[in-house]
Amino acid sequence: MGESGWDMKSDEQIASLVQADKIELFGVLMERYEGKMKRYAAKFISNQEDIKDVVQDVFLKAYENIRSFDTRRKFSPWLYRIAHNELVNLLRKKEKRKVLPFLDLDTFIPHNIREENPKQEIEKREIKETVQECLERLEFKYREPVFLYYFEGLSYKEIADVLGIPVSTVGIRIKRAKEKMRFLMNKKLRNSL
Amino acid sequence: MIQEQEKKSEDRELLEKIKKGEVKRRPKSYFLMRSFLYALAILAVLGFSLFLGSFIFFSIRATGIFFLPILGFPGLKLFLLSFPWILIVLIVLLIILAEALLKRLHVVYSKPLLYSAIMLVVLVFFGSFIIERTHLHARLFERAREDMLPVMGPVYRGFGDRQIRDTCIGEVTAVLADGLIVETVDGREVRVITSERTSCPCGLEQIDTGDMVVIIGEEENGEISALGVNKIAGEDYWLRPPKVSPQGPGPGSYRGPGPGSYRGPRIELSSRL
Repeated sequence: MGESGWDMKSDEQIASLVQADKIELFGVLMERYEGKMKRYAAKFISNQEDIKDVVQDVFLKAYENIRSFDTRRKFSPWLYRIAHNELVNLLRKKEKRKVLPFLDLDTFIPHNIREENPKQEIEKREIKETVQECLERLEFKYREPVFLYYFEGLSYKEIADVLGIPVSTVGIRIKRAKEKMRFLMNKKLRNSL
Repeated sequence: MIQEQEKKSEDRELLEKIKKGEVKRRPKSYFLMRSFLYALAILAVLGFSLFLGSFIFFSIRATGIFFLPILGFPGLKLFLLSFPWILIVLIVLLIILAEALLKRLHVVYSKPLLYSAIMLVVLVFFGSFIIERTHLHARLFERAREDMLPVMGPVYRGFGDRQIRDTCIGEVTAVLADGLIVETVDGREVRVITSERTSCPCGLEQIDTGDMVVIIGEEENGEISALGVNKIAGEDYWLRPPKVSPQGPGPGSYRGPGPGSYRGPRIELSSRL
C-alpha cells in the first residue's frame, strides 16, 4: 500500500498496525500530528529549540508507549495527554514553580455546564479570532482548554481526558477564560480610545 | 524550503532510530505489570485504611469512649477530649493518598472529585465498622496482652488498654436504693452513688443486676459519685471476644488486665469535667 493508501486509514487503525509490528507506519502518525503538536507547544513556550525538543519527546514517548494505547478510544486525546504531561514537566523545570495546583477546587466540586451546541459554531469562529489576541495572557489552566477547544477542535470530553479533569471543570474553565478574555478585550478597547 | 528540509530530517532521524531498533516499544507485559502494581498500591492503601478505621472503632469501644456521648454534655466533652485524634489524622491522610491514586482512573477523574471522596469516606467508614464487628481486633488485642503479637503488640496495648479517667465499665452485681454495686472489667468492685444530678438516658429504674453499664464520675475509695450512667448491650462491649473453642476465651470470660497490669498511657481528665 502506498503513502496515499494510509491516508484512508484512521489514526486508531494505524496505531493498531504500529502495535502489531508495522513500526514504519509510525511516520504516518508523526506526519499527521507534527504540526498540531508544534502549534500546541508554541502556545506555552516561545523558544523554538524547546518546542522542537518537546515535540520530539512527545513522539518518542508515544512510540515507546504505543502498546498501552487502547485502540477502541481516540488517538488524538491520548497523544495530547502525552504532550500535556511533557509541557507541564518542562514548564515546571524551567519556571521552578507549580504550573498546575495540586488540588484545584474546580475539579473537586460539581458544575452545571453544558458543551456548546453546533448553533454556536459561528460564535466559536468569532471567539477563535479574539482568542488569538489574548490567549497568551491567560493562566496555564485556562489557556490549555481554550486552545484545545477553539483551535484543535477537541470536545469537552476529549479535553477532560487530555487534562485528566472532570468534563464540567473543562466547561467552567472555558467559561471563565471567555470572561477573562472579554475583560482583556474591553480594557484594550478602552485604552485605544 | 530550508525549514521544510530541517523538518523532514528531524522526522527521518526519529524514524531511522525506530527502524534500526534504537528506540523500542515497551512490551505489553510492562504495562500489565504497571497496572498490576498500581492496583496493588490502591488495594494496599484501601486495606490499610480499613484496618486503621476498624482499629479506631476498636479503640474507642475498648476504652469505653464510644458510650460517652449519650451521657449528656460531660460525656460528650470527655468523648471529644479522649478521642484518638492522631489515628483520625492518619486515616484522613490515607484517604487523601487513596484519592490521589484513584484520580488516575478515567471513571474517577471524569466526575467531580467530591463524589469519589465521599464514596471513599463512606466505604472506609462502613467497611471499618463491619470489620470491627468480626472481633478481629479484640482477638489481636488478646494476643498483644499475652505478648504474642510482634510489631503491633505495643500499639494494641497502647490504644486498647488506655484508661480514661472518670470512666468505668462493668457489670451490675447489686442494685441499691441510692446506687449500684458494679464489678468493673478490670475485676474491681465499686459502689456507684446516683442522685438527681446523675444523667441516665435509659432510666435508673431500668438498670438491673447482670446489666453492663458505663459510668462517668470521679472515683474515690471505691466509690463513684456518678455524673452519668447508662446501660450498654453486653455484646456491644465486645472487648470480650466470642467463644472460639472450648479452651478459648468465651463471652464473659474476660476480666481485663487486672489491677497493676496496665501499661498504656493514662488520661487525666477529671479536672476538666
